[in-house]
Amino acid sequence: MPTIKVPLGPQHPALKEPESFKFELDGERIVDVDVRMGYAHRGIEKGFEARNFTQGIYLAERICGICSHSHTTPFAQNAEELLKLEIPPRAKWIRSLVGELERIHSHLLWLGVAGHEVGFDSLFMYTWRDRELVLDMLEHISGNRVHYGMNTIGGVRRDISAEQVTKLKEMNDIVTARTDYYIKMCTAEPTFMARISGVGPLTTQQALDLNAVGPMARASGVKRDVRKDDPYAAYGEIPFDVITADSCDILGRAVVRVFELLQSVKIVDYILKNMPAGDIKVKAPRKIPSGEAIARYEAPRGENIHFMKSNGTEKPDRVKVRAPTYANMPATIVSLRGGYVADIPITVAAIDPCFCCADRMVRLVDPRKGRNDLLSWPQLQQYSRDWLRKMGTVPRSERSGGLSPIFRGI
Amino acid sequence: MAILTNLATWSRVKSPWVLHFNAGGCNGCDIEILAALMPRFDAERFGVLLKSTPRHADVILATGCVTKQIGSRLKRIYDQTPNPKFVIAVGTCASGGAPFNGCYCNHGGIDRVIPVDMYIPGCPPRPDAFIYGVAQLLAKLQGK
Amino acid sequence: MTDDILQTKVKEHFGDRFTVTIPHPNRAWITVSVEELPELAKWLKDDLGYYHCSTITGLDSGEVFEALYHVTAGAGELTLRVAVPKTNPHLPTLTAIWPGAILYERELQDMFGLVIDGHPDPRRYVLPEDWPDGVYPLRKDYVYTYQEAPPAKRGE
Repeated sequence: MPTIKVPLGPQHPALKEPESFKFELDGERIVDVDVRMGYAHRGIEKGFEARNFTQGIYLAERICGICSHSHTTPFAQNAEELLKLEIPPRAKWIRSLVGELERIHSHLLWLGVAGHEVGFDSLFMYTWRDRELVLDMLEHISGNRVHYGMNTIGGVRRDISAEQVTKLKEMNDIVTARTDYYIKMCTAEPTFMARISGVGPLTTQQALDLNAVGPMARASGVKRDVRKDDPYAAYGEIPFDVITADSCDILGRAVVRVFELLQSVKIVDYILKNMPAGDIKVKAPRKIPSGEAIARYEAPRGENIHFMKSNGTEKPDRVKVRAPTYANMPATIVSLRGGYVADIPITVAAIDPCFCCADRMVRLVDPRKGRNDLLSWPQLQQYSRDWLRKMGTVPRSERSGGLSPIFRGI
Repeated sequence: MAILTNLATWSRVKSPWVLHFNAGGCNGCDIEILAALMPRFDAERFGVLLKSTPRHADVILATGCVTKQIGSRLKRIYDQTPNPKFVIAVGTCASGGAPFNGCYCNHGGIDRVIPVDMYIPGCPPRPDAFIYGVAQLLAKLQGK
Repeated sequence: MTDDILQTKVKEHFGDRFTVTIPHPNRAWITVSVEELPELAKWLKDDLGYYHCSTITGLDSGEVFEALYHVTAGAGELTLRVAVPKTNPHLPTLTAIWPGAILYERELQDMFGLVIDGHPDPRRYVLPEDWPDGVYPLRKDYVYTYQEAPPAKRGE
């Protein structure tokens, strides 16, 4: 049976970074996938070796825009371990606070993007509106909505005053109320659940073998969370649950993320009530003695691991960063196989791609009919909606009169 | 003919169709561009429409310091966009390549690959700054 | 898998062939030679449950290249340090033991020029297509000097 090769090239209409997938299709079914990364390869690991440690923190922040705190924290932790520096407890709690706020905004972002990929644009608008509240909270304490710059070697740069704590508590209560709405949506809304249930399967054994991390692995029943297994910052003292699901599909990943949202707002509440008083940083020398250190962090997308080797000078000898989406790529390829073309957008979006992403020009070459169509991402989404309508499942955005045509352009 | 040209310019100014292209950045600017289209800032009430293909776009919004791998694709996208076209480089990376200066694999900013009409600095620029930048470009077009 | 249990089990099974050093809680290190690596890796996966390979770091340490395999069974991170001479930089593939390590080994090939024998898919991974062959960016002798390109002109 001849297969059709379909490339997804690096130009895209909406969010996300450039990446290239090549799909091999047999009719509507995906037989195999080939991934071409490297479009965002900027040579950062070499760049660390040319900068001193404080400049390195600024570079580490810009590895990723959505999870910038999850790169500066392990970088700073590595440097502090090599210096044998014990940072004050208040600094650890502030690091955890910013980390959890980042997790909340990242999961809300994902929920909106997932809604958009399945055709549920209202969810996209709602979640991003609520995400603005969280970004306001972050701006209140750090001054910027993205790239907060809270970390430094030896602690954090900014303290949180009592008035700021009161304001954050008020905003956190609003976000908690909205989270309840999203939980109801993910567990009780029939069209959303029908669209993502059974799609993109990844069995528990596959998740373990292919070393999947984060919500991708937790949705297949693998109970692994770096905050519980290998506690860092203040997580050893904060009570929370690790959320797993056993449906092994995209619905499981959505449920895991939504319940993690709930856990995160509770953690933020706990931190705001129980943060210890004290200093926020200790002075760190510029030269770091020779040694090697490893730090792990639970980013919103999974386990983030940093390795640092220093040689007694002001600049590191080697810094290695392994971001979580990189670890989830083999698992994504396996979860795409056997699926339909119409499910490509949501399956790729389900790993919450951050460092790499799927892209939007699809060329469908059908050698038997001699057709050679070039589809853009929204055309692919429209194709997926039309195809599903033929199969008898009406997409959400089409049900009650549909959305304004302007929103379809995204 | 002058009426048609005026009509075309008027429609381009009142409702610019933009194409967003991430040329190897960290995603921060891309999230802020999307946030500009979300309910809080809502650039769509000014007529800004996000399109998916370069053939339909008037304005290219490019973010990210251009990596070597994506440089040729960016040039190709620029060539595919029909005239008159304008390029906005969003973010500090796109304007000059910092903070990745000295990292191999970068061109060092959008303007090393395609000509740029407007720079919006910031790391990342707030959605309000982004809407202000677009409005400035449109005001300049109207003055033409 | 706590640090003490790991140390006891390694001593029971391998005697004095491998020593586990623990410079920091939850961070164990074992130095192993290239020939013994597959045997140790298989034992760690099958008998001790080290199912997760977090990543593989490459180091350029003067006379030798080092590959650090970071693996975990959940709690602590164990690192296997393997040194290969620069004149013969070959490593065996461990994708049969940790299938998730397939992309990390390709990255080692791209960045350092280590050759992974038996890798199922040894294509270029992260570097751009027009990157010259034989140039490995993370080696210490690769020095990058920034050349400022002229800005693009309109009409090109």
